[in-house]
Amino acid sequence: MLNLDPNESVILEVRKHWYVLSARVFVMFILVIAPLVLFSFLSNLIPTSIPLPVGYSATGFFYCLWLLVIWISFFINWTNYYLDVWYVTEKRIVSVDQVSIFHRKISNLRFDKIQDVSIEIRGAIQTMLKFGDIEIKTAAEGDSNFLMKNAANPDEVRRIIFSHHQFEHEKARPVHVVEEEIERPSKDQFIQS
Amino acid sequence: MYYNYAMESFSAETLTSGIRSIFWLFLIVYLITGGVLVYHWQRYGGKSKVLFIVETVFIVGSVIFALAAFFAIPK
Repeated sequence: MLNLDPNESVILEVRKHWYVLSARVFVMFILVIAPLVLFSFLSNLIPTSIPLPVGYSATGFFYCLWLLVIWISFFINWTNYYLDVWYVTEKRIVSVDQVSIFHRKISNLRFDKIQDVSIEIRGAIQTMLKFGDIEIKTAAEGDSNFLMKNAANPDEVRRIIFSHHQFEHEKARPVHVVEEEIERPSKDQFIQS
Repeated sequence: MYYNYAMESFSAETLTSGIRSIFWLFLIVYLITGGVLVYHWQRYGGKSKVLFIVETVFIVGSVIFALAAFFAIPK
């Protein structure tokens, strides 16, 4: 669960592009139809090794179980996709790294700690569908950079993060009060008046 | 065509009871995994409308496939 300050709200949620999920869905679709194709080919070629009663067939039952396995693995993949997210607030970036169902990392990055935001868009598919890798380099030592691979709209994300970073930077800058030099009256002028 | 009728050693009843056991065992594992998923959605997903829709689709689909599997158990 995301714990935000009372005066803090999420202005942007950054997720991986739907292409990442669709590639997995395509594989699952192949797995759905593969048993049907295989069964229709192999049923005539290979004789059954288990002596079954005449007319006895459990193919439909096992295919339904197979569909259930694919159904739940789709939702496991979707959960890993949906819960792997960056929340950009007015103050910070909260990175929720959903590695697998039981592996979850959460880290925070304040805007004043950001040194650079770089994006990398490789290849025709990433260019056409507008997704790529976003890396935020931080001022902290060690391996503390934020990286999201195949994030959707990396240009837009970088623009928003930069504008907030600039805003925070301007706020933190010390204020120089420039006093206008006032011509003070001399002692004689003061006595005359 | 290739069945060796002389080797028929499994009765339909034995096979059906075995398949029924497989079904119930599978259903238990499925329910535990599905429960973990729903827990994740409710715990980490917040009160998102998307998650509500996904949860509904998951449950409805699971019930349909599970019923199909149950009725596909050979008699």
